[in-house]
Amino acid sequence: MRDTVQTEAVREPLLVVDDLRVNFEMGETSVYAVRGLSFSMNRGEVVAVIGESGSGKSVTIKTILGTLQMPPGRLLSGSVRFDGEELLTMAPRARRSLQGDRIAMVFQDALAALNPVYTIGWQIAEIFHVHRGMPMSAGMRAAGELLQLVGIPNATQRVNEYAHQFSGGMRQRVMIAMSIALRPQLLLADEPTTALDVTVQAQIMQLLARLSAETELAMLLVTHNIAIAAEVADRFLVMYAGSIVEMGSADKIIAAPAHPYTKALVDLATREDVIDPIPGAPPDLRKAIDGCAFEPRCPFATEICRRVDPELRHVQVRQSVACHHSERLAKESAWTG
Amino acid sequence: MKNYLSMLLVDRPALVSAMFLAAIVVVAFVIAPIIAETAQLQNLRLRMQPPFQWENGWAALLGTDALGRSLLKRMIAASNITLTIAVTSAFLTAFIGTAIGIAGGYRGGFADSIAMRFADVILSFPMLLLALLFLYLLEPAITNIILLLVIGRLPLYMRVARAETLSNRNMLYIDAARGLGASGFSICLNEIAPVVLPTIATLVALDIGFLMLLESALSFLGLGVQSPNVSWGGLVAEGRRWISSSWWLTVFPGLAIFLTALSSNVLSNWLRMATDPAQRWRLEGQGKGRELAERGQG
Amino acid sequence: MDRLTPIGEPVLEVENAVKHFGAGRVGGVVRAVDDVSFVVRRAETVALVGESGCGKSTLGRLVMCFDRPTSGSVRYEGEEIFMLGTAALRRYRRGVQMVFQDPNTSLNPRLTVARSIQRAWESNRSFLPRAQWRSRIAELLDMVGLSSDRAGFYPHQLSGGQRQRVAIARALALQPKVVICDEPVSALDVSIQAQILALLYKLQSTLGVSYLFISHDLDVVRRISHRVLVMYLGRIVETGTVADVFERPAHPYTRALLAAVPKADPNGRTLLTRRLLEGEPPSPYSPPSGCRFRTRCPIAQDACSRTDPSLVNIGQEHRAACLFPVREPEKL
Repeated sequence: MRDTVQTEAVREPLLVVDDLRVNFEMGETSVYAVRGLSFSMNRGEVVAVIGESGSGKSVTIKTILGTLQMPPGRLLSGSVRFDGEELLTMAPRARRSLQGDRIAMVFQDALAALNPVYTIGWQIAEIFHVHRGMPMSAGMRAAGELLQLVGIPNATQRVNEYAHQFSGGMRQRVMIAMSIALRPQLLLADEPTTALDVTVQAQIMQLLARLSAETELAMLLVTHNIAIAAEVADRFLVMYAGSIVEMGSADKIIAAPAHPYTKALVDLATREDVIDPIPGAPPDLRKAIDGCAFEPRCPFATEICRRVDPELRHVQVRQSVACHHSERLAKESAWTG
Repeated sequence: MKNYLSMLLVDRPALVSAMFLAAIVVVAFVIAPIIAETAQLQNLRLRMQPPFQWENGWAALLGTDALGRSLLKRMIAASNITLTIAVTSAFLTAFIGTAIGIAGGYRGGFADSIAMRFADVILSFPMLLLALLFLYLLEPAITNIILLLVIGRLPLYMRVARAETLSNRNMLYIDAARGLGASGFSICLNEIAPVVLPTIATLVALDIGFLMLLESALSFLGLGVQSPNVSWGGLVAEGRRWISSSWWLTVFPGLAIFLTALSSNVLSNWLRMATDPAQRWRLEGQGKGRELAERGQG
Repeated sequence: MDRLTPIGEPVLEVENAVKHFGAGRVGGVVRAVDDVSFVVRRAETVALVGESGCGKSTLGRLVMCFDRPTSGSVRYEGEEIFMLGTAALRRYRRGVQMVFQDPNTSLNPRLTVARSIQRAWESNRSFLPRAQWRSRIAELLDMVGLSSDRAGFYPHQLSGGQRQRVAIARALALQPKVVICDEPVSALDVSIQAQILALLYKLQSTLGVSYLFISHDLDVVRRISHRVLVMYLGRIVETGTVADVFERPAHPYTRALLAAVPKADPNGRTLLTRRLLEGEPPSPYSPPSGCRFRTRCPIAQDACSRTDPSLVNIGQEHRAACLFPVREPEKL
């Protein structure tokens, strides 16, 4: 009996996003930021959302978290279900209390996210106090343990320090500590290492990878760097101009990308010489796009790409792509290797 | 220029203000000299006439004063004085103050410290005390009044220009200009001044209104322009005596001051947006979506 | 793509450059650049690589003559730049230009594209007669891949990549021999980075210009450089050709740096098991005694705290400042 219950729980996805459409509107102009996004995440899974500026990745995260400013942002349609409950139509208070200790977020800039006038230990202890009713003294002890867990040396002394006394990498660890304090089920990380040095970046990514592997923490990582994503993620969501262009197992996509854009990103990350880059820039999202958004820059584009927006289709198990020419690309990939 | 016109058309309040101010300028500098002599004409039969008595003729449209002089004509003549003082002071102060502020802010060092201490000294005097001292020692002629206003307002422009210069001095584009071989003077003139200009222009537009009010206060104290010349503030000061019986003698000049100062305030707000290439989208109607897209996405 | 082989003669020589900040201050001296020497040859790209605090940007500013060094010299075509008078310095600036890190602030927001480029000639009147300015601007824009109708645009009307192209055009306006690129692509999207790098590469092939390429991004450096200098806390810890440094790194810091770079490897993830460098760069106020890297070095020994190693030869042009450099050509 218990086994069946457990498998039931494992099978139902933790997060389901269905046909999300978000605009920015000001007066007569609309910017189509997210144009029909659908994906799901299971418990314990690490999914990387890969995209450049204008891809809609940050808007997506903010919509899931509920931090998107709603004018000028406007939710056109779609649903976000977390652990079976619909978030987007929920009242703000109910949503906060549902999300509170189950969804956590790590930002790019830790200094902006930490309060400068309270010690780090106090801020962590407060989290326990507010959400678990723990007295502050016990909370301070728990804070020390957390800081140790995330690899901060002299953790028991450093609980009494302030944010500005920590270096960039250490602050990021502190922010991670705060976010996992209540053992959330889902961690959203928006470019968590972009502002850090290379060696520190690697340490932080290693920390996140370990946390995810050792607990059942699901992680949605937003990044523009496909190599970073490749090191921690099980699955990729590659976004371009507000839609998913390719989705699936990280290993498969790196080995044989099925979308020209993904292929360009993978090439840039893996090849060592100066290659002919894809020309042009991301499209102007103020206009509704007929056909494929990537078409103007795509070396494989044909007439149909201009007229018909390709839909996300499975090309093999655990890989879907939105492209009219994915078979042709697969053949070319096989030749060049 | 065409661009500015279209931006003006979009912003209704600014458009109205600009038209009003343009009209005032025409009145002050074109019409006033023409009617200057007739403004002093006394007509003792028509003393203290209230406004809008059509039988008294168009000259008495806004009423007459104790000597039967047409308030309308006197106001027109006075507009010349008022605007000359306000506009000249504003532009002169802006030019001198900005130049000192930018130079001091960019080079720093001893000269900058001296300039700032000088500004502090001026600021430590209440404006009216300064006026009293100044105009008591020298006679209250128009040039002296302008001089006083310039000295009084100089520290403001120096401070603003210097602050903006300091905040921009370390920008990469200044380094780039240095890298290209530009001299310090060239940088101040071609790189920093255009950045500082929108703020200064806004300040000038605001200041014109403020200086008018200041000049009126001086007239109120008897330190303003002396007879037979008179400014709007002077008219208000004269009419004070009869405020309960002949209300029009204070109200209409006061209204003129108020509306002109208000228009300059509104226009200064528009100027702030129009002179900054990055803010212009607010006046252009289409750029808004893109601005938002750039800020909200990523 | 093959690389244009650099012609031998040096254009820029940096010798024992030192820059200390804050002499006499309570907190002590910051040794931002501490005895750095290197050479840039014609049509060559030399990369300065390192993390924050290593001094690469300070070094760039020294070479641009924005700051005076505490000691040491920089010679351009044989002439010592820190001894030049105003007119001679201006001539130096024609020879050595800079492309800055942030395209959003390296262009004056109040100046049009044309005006920004034209500033080069306004400041150097004898370089190009005014009548030719307009056509030259169009040529420069074309060279960097922008259409000439962008000349009247303001920076905020351009995308990040386009702004950087304008910055490059501006840097080329005086036909310099050396362009210092200070993190020129770090602020740009990956696909745009590739475009700008390709542009820089093409310009080197056609114009023969040399680059001093300052960056923290090793992937970028690998693509575009001939030689690499790895810096740590104000010192050069390793120098060599791209092949030397990337395929046969000798200094433990270089090895750690390369190990930390994320890799997209379809054959599996190594992040969880990879041995990564611990700790953070120490404060530049009080670098460790002896070898500066010893506090984080996985192979540090007693001798490392007593001696500050100088560069020793590893290969033909390959040198590393370590008492125990890795000499076996072991691929990472």
